[in-house]
Amino acid sequence: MKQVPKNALYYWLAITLLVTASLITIYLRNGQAGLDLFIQQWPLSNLAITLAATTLTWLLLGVLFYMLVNDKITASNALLMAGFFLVMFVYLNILRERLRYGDYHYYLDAATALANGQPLPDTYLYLPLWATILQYIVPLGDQGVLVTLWTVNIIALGTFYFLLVQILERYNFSHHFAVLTTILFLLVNAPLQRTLGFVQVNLMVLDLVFLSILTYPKNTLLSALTLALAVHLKTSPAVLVLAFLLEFNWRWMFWFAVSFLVITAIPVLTDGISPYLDYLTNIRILTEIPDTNFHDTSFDSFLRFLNPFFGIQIAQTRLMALSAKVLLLGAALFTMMKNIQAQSFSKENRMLNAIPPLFIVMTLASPIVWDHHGMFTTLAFLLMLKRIETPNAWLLFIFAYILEFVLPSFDFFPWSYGRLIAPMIVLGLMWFTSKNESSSFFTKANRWQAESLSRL
Amino acid sequence: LPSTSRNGQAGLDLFIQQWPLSNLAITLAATILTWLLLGVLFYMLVNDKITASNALLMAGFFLVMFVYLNILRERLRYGDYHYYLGLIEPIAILCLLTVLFFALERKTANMRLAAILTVLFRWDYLGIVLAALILTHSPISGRMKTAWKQLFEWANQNIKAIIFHILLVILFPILIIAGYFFFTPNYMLNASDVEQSSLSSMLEGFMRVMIGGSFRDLREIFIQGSFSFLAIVLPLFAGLIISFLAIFYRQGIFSKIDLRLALLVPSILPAYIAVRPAAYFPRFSFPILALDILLIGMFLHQLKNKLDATSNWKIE
Repeated sequence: MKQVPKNALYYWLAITLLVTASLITIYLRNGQAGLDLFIQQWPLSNLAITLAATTLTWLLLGVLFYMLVNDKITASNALLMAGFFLVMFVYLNILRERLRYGDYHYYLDAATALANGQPLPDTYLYLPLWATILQYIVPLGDQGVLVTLWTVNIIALGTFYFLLVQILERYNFSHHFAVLTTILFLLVNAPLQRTLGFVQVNLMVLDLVFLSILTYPKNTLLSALTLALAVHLKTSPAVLVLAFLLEFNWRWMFWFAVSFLVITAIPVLTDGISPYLDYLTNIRILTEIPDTNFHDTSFDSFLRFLNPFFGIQIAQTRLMALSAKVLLLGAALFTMMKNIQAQSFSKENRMLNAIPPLFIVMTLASPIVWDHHGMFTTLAFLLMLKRIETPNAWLLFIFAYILEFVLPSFDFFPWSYGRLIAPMIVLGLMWFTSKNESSSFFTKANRWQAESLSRL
Repeated sequence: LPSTSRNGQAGLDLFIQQWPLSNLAITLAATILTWLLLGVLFYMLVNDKITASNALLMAGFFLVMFVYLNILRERLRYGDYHYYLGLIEPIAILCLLTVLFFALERKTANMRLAAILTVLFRWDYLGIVLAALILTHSPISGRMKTAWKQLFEWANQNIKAIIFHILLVILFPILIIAGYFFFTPNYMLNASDVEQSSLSSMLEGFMRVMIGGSFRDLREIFIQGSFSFLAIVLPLFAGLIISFLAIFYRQGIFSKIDLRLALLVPSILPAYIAVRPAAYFPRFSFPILALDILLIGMFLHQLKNKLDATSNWKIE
């Protein structure tokens, strides 16, 4: 029986060597023209992405054969690995079909500006670390940078899969229930598709945040370092630091401060202090945007479009948006305190109870909330599976989940602002269910998955 | 209409935005379909249509639908559909075959609905759609006099139904065409280059429809050694001959071929008295190809029966 995957692996190796050898021979003999003769660019396809997707699929196939031959796939991890390969193959195929990718231009423009000693452009809204790193791959050109970031995102997706399973297990999901939840969550997920289609850094940020949560408190240095990196990539995860501060773990706080300062120093050493000043300028400009995009589901965007109908001026609109965010923060903090008191998400530590509502503040408090930012509410939504008991609560949860993750991204005022309401519904559910023990659904699902799948 | 609406297209444009790297029409279609599917899901849940026995099936269905609606919403450009633009034939022929099916099943309401749709898609299928009504009669066979007598008796008995069928099928296209003439400035029903100009162009048009092209076209197709000649031109030609013999020479084998089917083949022609079928091979012949193949099948069947009856030689 084992001979079959062994043969498959040998064939895979032989074909891989053959393809590599033929590519090298063609290139050495005829250069780029030779390759152009054998590799075609097809309409409605991006050749670089097509080749990257094909290569990664082929490599993953090799990994699968290798694991089968070396008994790395066992009864205990079969579902986990099946889900991983399923998710990866699905997204590699989806992304291969995408003709144009967005947003990476903003990173490339910023990296190019730094490489040329120019100020960061006002379209770059993050701390300078990412642009500082990317300036070293600017010579690869537009397509080279795209393929690099695209590949990094694919790796981040694979990492996210395993980290999400582990983090759900940390919150007492049974292994199989955590895997099934993760697979279904990743397969039908509009914000994830937007994240990958716009080559956003969300998955990397979430991977770092999840690593930070998973390594706490065993490895405080790694936990602090990964969260500091996440803050340098996207700024908004800074809100999550509060959950760790509530632990009063001085060691963690020390490492976080040190890590943050060391990472801050990297752009200063390579490009000086000016990128940070540019960042502050860009953030100030961001709060003064006059127009509205209907899939920017921030309070600012919603009120900026709505208020002119009531004759409300832009200055008051900004004040109203700020008030809404203060109210949201207040509600989130109260919910957080109730969760901590009732230990309703986990009996393990304060941080695990405090962090779910903070993900909602992290997402909605930003002056711009694009549809792909919905990924940041992942944990807030999925952890509610533990808590929801009554049919009405289920109805609200399903409605919110659909608005956030199932409905495609669209721009129709006010209906496309479902992604503004959905996280608030979940925050409300967190509040009202904060005293709940694990729901009967959660208990049954955990038991059923364990029993039925162990029988298989 | 802009004069009666509140804000017209400008109002919609204010509330619905087109975003870069998105196709607005596809975005809205994907969103609407997702929303409708959610309605279907809720309906099924409320009415206990999802049970333990079909839960996995339905979960899989909704999962696949939601996955692909999201994937396709993200696609910026679509290919190949450009090739189909202006070519409604595949759908029109499907509708036409549906008309014939419902006529044979004597489901007249369904037949008329399909007939209206067919004519809306392709005005030139009007003749065959009207003639399809004879399929509601039982098969007509026999020699010349017997067969035609049966047909005329049926027509005489069903004259009101026939007139109703004709009026109903013609009414909708006429209303729509009139609407276009009324509301669309400079509307043109047919381009000037497809108007019939002479008797010879009309005969050439008939030939193009009935066997796929003019003599020159057919010679070219034959010289090219194209598979199309064997698969399309020959069946069209053979079907036409059998059809004409079954209509005008009902002797021997041909007296046993169903007159209704034989009449359907040339019934496509009336539209081409006014319109010249000017397009590539064999666009205008496809609607009758299926009928021709059926006639060839009938002919071969009768031929086999005759050979079986008159000699010891049997076709296995």
